[in-house]
Amino acid sequence: MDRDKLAVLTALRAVVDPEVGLDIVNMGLLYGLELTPARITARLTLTSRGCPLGETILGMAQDALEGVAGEREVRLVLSWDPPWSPRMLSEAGRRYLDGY
Amino acid sequence: MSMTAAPAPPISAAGLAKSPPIDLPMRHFVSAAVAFWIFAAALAGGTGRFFGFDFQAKWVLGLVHIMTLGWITMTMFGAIIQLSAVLWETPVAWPGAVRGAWWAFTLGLIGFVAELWSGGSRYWIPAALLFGAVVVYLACFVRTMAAAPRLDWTARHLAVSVSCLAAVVTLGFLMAWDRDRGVLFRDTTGALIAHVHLALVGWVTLTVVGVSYRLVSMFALSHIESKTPGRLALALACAGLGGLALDGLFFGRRLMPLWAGLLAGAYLSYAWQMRAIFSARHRRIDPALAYTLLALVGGALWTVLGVLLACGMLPEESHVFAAYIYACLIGWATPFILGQIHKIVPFLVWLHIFGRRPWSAEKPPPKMTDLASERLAWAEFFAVAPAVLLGVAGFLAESRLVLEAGSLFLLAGATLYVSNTAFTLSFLVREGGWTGTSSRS
Repeated sequence: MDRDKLAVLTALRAVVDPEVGLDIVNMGLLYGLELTPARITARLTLTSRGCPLGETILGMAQDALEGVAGEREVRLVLSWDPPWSPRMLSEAGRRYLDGY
Repeated sequence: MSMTAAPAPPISAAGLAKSPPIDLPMRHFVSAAVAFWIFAAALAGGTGRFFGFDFQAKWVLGLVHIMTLGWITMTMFGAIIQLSAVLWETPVAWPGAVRGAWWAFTLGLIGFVAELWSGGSRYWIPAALLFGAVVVYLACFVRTMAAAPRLDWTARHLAVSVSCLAAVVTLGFLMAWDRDRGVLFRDTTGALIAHVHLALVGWVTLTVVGVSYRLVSMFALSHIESKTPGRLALALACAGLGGLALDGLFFGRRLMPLWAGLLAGAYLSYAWQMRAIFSARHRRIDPALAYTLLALVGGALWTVLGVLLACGMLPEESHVFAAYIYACLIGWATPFILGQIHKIVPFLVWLHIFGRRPWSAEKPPPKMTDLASERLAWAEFFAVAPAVLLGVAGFLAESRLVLEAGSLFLLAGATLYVSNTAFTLSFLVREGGWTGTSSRS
């Protein structure tokens, strides 16, 4: 993984769902990441449509990405396909929740 | 399916419905907590009034309305208002009217109970305020549902429960009008049974059931594979409740065992659905989930008592009816509400204080669990759980001692609940109050 992508992922790992206590990458909310010299595009989902924290989490992700984007444009795309399910939790996320 | 069409805006949060201003749900939760504590304190101080020659109908009636309207209905209104963005993907309609309805409902309830307890005869005035407030709430909910892009199965439960609330209010109004005339309802006991069950099963239970599918699976990080038991539960509940209400109102209560059987079947199907949700959970049992399990036990107790009463296996005496109602209100509805509110109130406070941008990785916001005391919540749970069992046992056995013990446990639980809620709200007060709109708007 190149250094740029690693920096972007690290920034997104700092965005924590305040109810669950787990970051959005390990929650499986990040569906895709595309880095170009002009733009960072992150495809994200939420745990459910109308998620009450949706706006906040997207705002946090936006801020986190802007922190590492430099001159690049940050673009978040909200996707519901496929719908999120607990199966999308990472192995580390499952371990965290098992111990929580 | 993506929410955005190319070219996408920098942040595509379109379609995320706005939460209401924080004061709107919070005023309901705060007044409900006060009502819960008053109920528990009055019950603890007046257990003797339930039994024998000391039975005081107006005092009991006032107490029941503090519980059903002040605690349960007030909380459910607040939750529906807050959850409209989640459940119906649309903000609640006419927030100004909702605020006005809260005032009318609160003042109406205070006046109604005060008239009952002081032996007054003008309770039609506060009752009219209550009636008007409920009509406004209903209008707001129906308008909100009409604007929803889709109605999922939780929303379908709420559509039925809101319809039942309209039926409860209408029937209550007609019963009050007919009280001295005897034109509409020849079997007043049958009409009362219909009224009570439209409220307890139709309004309270269907709201709890529908919301539980969404919130419990969300809080437990569970995923529902099959909704068949839940769908069966809804169909059986509608059939049982509809039959019971019509039989009670018009047909002389001839088939009560059948309706009780259908409602018991509905409860079993619901419990089976909840078992699936709990089996697939990805989080440990916290106080909120423990309360849901306690509610399932209380609901089972209520169901068994209902079947035994309908089949004539328990005597139709006031202390048995009291056990039946207590099992529903304190055993079933209250633990479920307490569990969900332990999640919802810290969430609201967190969102209002910490959901504001800009967000910084160097100084991340606290977790929502930091805004409430889990230790206090567990202590509260272990006070409420014995209150459920002792209360039902006390009424059934007509034991004042056992009922007093149960009511003291309930008072301890209510006091801890109010303390924990105050602790959470103290964050809000320190950050400048609850006025204004939601954090990110």
